[in-house]
Amino acid sequence: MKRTILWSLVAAGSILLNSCNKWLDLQPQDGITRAEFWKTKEDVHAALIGIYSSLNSGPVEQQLFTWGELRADLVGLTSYATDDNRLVKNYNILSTNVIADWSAIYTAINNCNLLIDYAGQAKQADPTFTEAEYNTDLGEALAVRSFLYFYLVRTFRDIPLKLKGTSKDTDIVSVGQSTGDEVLKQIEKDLLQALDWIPEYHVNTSGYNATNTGRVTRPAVRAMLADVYLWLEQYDKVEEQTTKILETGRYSLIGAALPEIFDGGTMETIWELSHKNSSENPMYNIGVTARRPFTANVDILNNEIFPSNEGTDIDLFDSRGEGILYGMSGDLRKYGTESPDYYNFQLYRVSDVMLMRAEALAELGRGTEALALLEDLRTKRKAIRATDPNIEATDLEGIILFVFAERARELTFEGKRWFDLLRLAKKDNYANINVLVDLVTKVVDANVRQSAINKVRDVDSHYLPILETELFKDKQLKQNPFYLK
Amino acid sequence: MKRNFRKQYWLIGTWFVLSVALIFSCQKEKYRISTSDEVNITGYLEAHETDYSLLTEILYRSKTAGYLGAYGTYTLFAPNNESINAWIKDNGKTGLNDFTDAQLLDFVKYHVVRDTVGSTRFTDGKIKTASLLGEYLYTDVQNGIYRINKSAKIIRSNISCGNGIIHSINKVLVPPAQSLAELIGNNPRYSIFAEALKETGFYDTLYYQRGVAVADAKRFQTAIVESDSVLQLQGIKSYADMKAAYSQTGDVKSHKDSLWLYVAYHLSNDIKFLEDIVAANTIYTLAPKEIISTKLLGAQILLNDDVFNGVHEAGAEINRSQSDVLASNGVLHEAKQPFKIKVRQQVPVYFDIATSPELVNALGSAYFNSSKALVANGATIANSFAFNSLTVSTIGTNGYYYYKALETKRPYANGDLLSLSLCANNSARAKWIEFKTPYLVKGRYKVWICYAQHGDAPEIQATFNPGKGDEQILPNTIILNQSLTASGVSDLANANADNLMLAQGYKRYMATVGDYNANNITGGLKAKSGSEAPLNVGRLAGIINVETTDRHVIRFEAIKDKKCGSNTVYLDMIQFIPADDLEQNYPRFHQISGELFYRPK
Repeated sequence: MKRTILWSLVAAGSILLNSCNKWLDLQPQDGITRAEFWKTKEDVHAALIGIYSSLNSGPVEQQLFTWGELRADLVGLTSYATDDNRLVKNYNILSTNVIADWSAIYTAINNCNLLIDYAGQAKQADPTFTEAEYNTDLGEALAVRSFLYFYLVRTFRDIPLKLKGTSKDTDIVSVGQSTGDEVLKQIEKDLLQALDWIPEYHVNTSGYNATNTGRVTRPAVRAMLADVYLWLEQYDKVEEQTTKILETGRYSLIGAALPEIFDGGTMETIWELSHKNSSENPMYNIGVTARRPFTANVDILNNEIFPSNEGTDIDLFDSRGEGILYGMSGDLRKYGTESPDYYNFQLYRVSDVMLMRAEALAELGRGTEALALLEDLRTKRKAIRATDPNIEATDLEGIILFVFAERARELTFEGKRWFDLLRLAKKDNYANINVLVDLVTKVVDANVRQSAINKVRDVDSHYLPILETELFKDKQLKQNPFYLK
Repeated sequence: MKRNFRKQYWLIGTWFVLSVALIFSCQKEKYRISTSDEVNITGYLEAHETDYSLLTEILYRSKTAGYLGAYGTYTLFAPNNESINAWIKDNGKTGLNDFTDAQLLDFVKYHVVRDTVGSTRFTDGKIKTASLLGEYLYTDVQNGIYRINKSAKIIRSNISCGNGIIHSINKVLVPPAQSLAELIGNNPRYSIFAEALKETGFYDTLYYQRGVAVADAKRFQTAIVESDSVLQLQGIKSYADMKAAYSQTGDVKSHKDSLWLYVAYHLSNDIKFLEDIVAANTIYTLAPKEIISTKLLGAQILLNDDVFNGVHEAGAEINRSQSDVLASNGVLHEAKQPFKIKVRQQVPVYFDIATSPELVNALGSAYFNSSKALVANGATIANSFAFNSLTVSTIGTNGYYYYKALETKRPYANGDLLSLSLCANNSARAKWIEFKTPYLVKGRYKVWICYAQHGDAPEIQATFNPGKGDEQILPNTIILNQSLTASGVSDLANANADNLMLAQGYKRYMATVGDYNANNITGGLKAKSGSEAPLNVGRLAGIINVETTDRHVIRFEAIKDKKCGSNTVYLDMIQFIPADDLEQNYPRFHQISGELFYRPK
């Protein structure tokens, strides 16, 4: 009897002890913890691809598009647009307007930060993780983060500059707010670092390759740097970076504008957000489908951006105009034509680089070269006489305006127009603020037009407010003074 | 013994439980009795007494603290203590005690709007709901900051409270002291116009004193005046000059006198800020049946800047910096150039409905080029026409069409037409379409509907200015599946066919073989007879009486279906020809734009 009890106790004990192992060790069944991750180069690479997929999952693209287009003149609203969108268009923005929601961007930035923080662990643990591979991964994360910060700083100016990852609750600390200048300095520093680390290309081929355009390469970093230097009005550096991009000979215009350029798969693309064999392009639902909230401002586009060639040859038309890149009823065909839509989202194309370069050259007094670049682009795109201002190489101001007009034609709907206009307006201490006044006069509803004109003269109003909920979460954030009144 | 112990155990237990229950039952349980923690307006002001102690005192003195503390929908423009102190000083008083309760009540009334008006609803004009005092507040923006009545700046906007919104302002709002009459009369810029006001008797019309009852329709007025310097450029250096220039009867108080009409033409009922003037397109003036047309070009507001009969007439621009001046009974604007009633002769208007300026603008490159749907993105592409419903499933079939190649079967004036899907009884199709006409000078007109026949087309009825005071239903239904032979004239080649058809209310409107054209165009002419000849029909819908020279509305409603199909209505033109004009047949039109054909010589 006693023996039976003893044995049964032993048996029960052994079961209990063993089972305790599992009881006390709680591992998620459908995921992987940080301690288990960051062990091999494959882990780091997976994290890098994760960064790219946080970019093409939808909200990031939508926000880049709305920040870059909604306040400008080329995109209008349909009856399916929200009131918040309408208020933005009418320059009547409160700190509760969802246009100021930056969460999607900061989420992607956090993914970059995590890679930057933890890739070192994997480097130590995995002896096959070469220095070059490590640098490439780190450099791409830095470049993507800088790219996102560049959009944020142009949209909000003073923003929290978070350079450390957040993976658990205790990581959530307020970093306060950095001024726009500080953020731009950090972006420049990071991009120059990334330039050293990222190779010219990922796959050695002379033709189009989805890996080379879908991931950041050195020319893509140079394009970002050129963009940043234009914003900072450091034109000699723009010239330097764009020279190096064009020198590679890897990128060229395909000629007349075709949907393929935007579908993905031509020699024009330097960097794009790829949707091929991946998630659908979210822009279809907001810019292409019949019930879309955003629509091409066909009126302004057809009269000011792509006027018809009256007086010379009415049958000639610009290959980027109505019927090709936007429909008569305003569908944005750059983002696809049918559902499901797997068009890529173009971030930098060689034409963008050519125009950045032309602008810099004009600013540096090299008008002839600038005009030659414009001429090259316009000939290939079948631009028409009606949009050629026919100016002298010595008329540098005229050339610069010509470049901006050409950017409107070449980069229509690509999330760049508002930043172009703002860049032109703020140049030389807001010497051209009338650019924005004219813009507002053109797009704002008649009953609030005077108010909008008087608001846009306040330079703080060019930047969006910090969303009310963010102010509530982080007491260190200071609202843009324009939105305090 | 054992039993005893057990009993005590239970006893102690029971006592313990009871005492615990008693102790806790004494604590009052807290229930949440409010639905929200948000304070109401009065509560907010009381909680922020460093800024609003004086305003709170005013609310209590005027017995409105309870009103603004109760639930409702209010907007309060809250002046801070500093501004109220300045206001007290401005009134030559030393403290709030020097004001009567009634004065303070008026003060509060002028600062409260009975609606929740956040800054997103501010425009370049009045707040659409009047303040409780019955007078409107005006909003605009200066240096990026919202202002009220062009004086008080908003320091903090959109403070949301349980019963509305507070906007904190840095200056007390004072209702305008002067009426329109005084505003004009006391301003040396307007001495000539002011004298004309007095002489013509309009000074009294524009005069108002608070507390004096006025008919609702005349409570607010709008005046657009010309300054002396503007008039002097016209050679009018004094009132005497003005009277000499305009008054033809000498009795300037007479409603027949041109000076009286001139002054009346500058005034209108109701309060119209520049924003309202732009939105309305027209101002109905005190001069009977005379209107001013308005137009917004970028930031410029132009009066009477019209294209009339193909000729652009430059208008007068509003001087913004001297406009939107608030008076106790309205608003005053100033024009940079003089404007007056235009004396116009009745002229025929040949309205190619695909060629209204708004539609041409919206058509863009499709105009005279290709076809385009009239409805896109759930809205008509131009505001010059409208359908009864934009949600019917076939709305997208209504379109603008253009034919370049000359033809003789169904040619269209200027090559374009509107091809519509209208049915009387079909939930999938629109029932009516209406158009804004070009300017029609007042008078009587014959209305000709010009269409191309389609065998399945419905019968439509035309209505002039539907739903308005001068609505007129045109008597003849237009049976769109009938051709010219419906006139009863079977031999169209007959030399007298045109006159016979005219007598029945039919006519050819497209160029026909034999008609005279200055450019000798011969292609694309309709045959005089044969199967193609009767397919382009001009049908007299009836005679209308246009009471004001303005753009009006004409509606075509399907009243009977033949075989309800898509795109069976081929509308080409509407011709308004003065009723007593003897020439109702010519000119005729051609596919080539601008080519007119006249009676054979």
